[in-house]
Amino acid sequence: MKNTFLKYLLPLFIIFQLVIVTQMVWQHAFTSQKGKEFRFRCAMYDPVHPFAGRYMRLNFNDLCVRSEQPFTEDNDMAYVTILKGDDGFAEPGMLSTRRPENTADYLEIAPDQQFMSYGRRDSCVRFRYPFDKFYLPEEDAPRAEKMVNEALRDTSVQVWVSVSIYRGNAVIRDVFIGERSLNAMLDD
Amino acid sequence: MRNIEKDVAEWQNEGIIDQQTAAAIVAYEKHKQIPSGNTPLVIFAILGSILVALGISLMVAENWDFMSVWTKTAIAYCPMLLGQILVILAVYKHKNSIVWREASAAFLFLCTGATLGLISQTYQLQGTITSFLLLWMILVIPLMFLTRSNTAFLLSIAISTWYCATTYWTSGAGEWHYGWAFGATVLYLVWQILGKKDMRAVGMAAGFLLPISMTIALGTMFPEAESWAFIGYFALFQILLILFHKPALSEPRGWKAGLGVIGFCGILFLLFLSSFHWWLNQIAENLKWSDLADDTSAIIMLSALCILYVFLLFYPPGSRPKPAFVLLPFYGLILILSGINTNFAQILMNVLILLIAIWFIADGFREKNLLWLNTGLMIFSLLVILRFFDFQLSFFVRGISFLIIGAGFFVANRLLISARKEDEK
Repeated sequence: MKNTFLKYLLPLFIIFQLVIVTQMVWQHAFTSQKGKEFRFRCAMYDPVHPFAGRYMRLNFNDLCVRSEQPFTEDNDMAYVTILKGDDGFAEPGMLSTRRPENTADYLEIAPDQQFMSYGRRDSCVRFRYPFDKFYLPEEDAPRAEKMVNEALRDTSVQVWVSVSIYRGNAVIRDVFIGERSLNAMLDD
Repeated sequence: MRNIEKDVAEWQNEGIIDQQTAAAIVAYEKHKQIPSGNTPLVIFAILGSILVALGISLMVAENWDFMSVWTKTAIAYCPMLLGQILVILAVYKHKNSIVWREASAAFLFLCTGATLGLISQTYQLQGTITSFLLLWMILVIPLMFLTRSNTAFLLSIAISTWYCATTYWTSGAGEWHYGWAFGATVLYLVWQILGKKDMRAVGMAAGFLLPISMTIALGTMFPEAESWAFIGYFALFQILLILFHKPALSEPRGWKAGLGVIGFCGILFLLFLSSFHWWLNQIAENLKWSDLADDTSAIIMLSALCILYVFLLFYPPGSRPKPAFVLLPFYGLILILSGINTNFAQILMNVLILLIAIWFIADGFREKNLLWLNTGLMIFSLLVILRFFDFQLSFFVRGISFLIIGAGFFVANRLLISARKEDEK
């Protein structure tokens, strides 16, 4: 490969890097602006990402949903519609292997986030939400975990996460204990 | 450089070469070498870049809260932009500077990871460590081709191996993305060697790192048929040994040492492991054709390895493979046979190891090669020692065995040295 050819490729490569990183930011901003806000009940604990820092791992209750089509172990991407329940919290609707056309309120579920629930008569498919991390400043993460654990012991208080959802993408806005933002409580 | 000058002076004194030839040899070696003063500079520049970039990554992981999202976004781009500026300067302005090339490439490689980390935490971007590593790999692996940086090459081997191991630990199976990443590093190495670039320093490292990476990755490609992985490993080690002996791509000298060492040690390790009854019992219980039929990646890997093995064995046409290269069919058959009769399979495996030891000893005598002779004796000794753990032998028998082996070492070496002295006379 001649040197001159490589020298022409280098600017393209740099643009490629910048485009990929900017696309990550753009997708977040777009979903945040256009998406509808949903509340998801959750529990949390505090591990570490080697590059992005400390975060709260979000645990949701056992998620199981009926499927329109039969599911096998070797699946492609699946889509689950999200509905607002009577109590104001989000509930999974129907799972499908096709992208829903009549609503924008759905999530993309990757194959490693799906698994069959054997032994159940109604063909329930278990899955995980594609959002399970809430990044926090390093020194606040242990305090946040303590606050959340105390709140979870009080049955009158709900711990929940606010998520914007738009056409398969999800953006976490904030975590709440009751009606108070976790970030606001940490600042106090 | 001092060594070659000393050797050339000695040859000239002995009348083997004349003054003109001596001068030409010294001039050629001088031309090939990097000026020795630059080598420490290059190494320290690379280390400095790596440490600065890692420092930035760690500071990023602090997760600063007092800045607005847009400020954090602007700062997030800085490490990568700085790295890109340095690479542009290295490629366009300081084209002949190895220090610039290596340091800037290492810096950009690591700062790209720092930027991705900062963007992820600022925007609460979801995903696993494997998706993070995959994106990082896609963004940095072309760097080694564009900058011809050996540091970027070594870092690419590291990140692709890390990615493969992480996918296995998180999902129980390897990912095919490792394949193209690994292929890119091999392509770079072959490109640099064929282009006669100075690969002495990094060639030796690559000769070890690439086989180690393959060894780590191969096990992840057999998620449902783990017992069949041992046949895959044996095929891989045989391939490495054959590549070591092939004359192709032999420059720079010594870079293929890693292939030979890992291939040879890997083969011996598997043979000795398979000589134990308890191990063959486990293989007998788990080596099922149905497991292999259910595991597509295992079938593809095993087939690819066997095809490559057969190709290397008989290419170029007319070449006669050495006995050490044709062990794979026997090993595979013995493992499969263990499912029918484990005791017989164990006997066969031990006989195979014994034959290998005898071949090394006989070849050592024939070629008058002390290294081969002693290798054969070591294999034989290890075989006897390991059998102590299998069979209940009395101390007296063990003592006599060690005496015979020890005496054998002395006698065999003495005979060979005497034979070599006679030849010299």
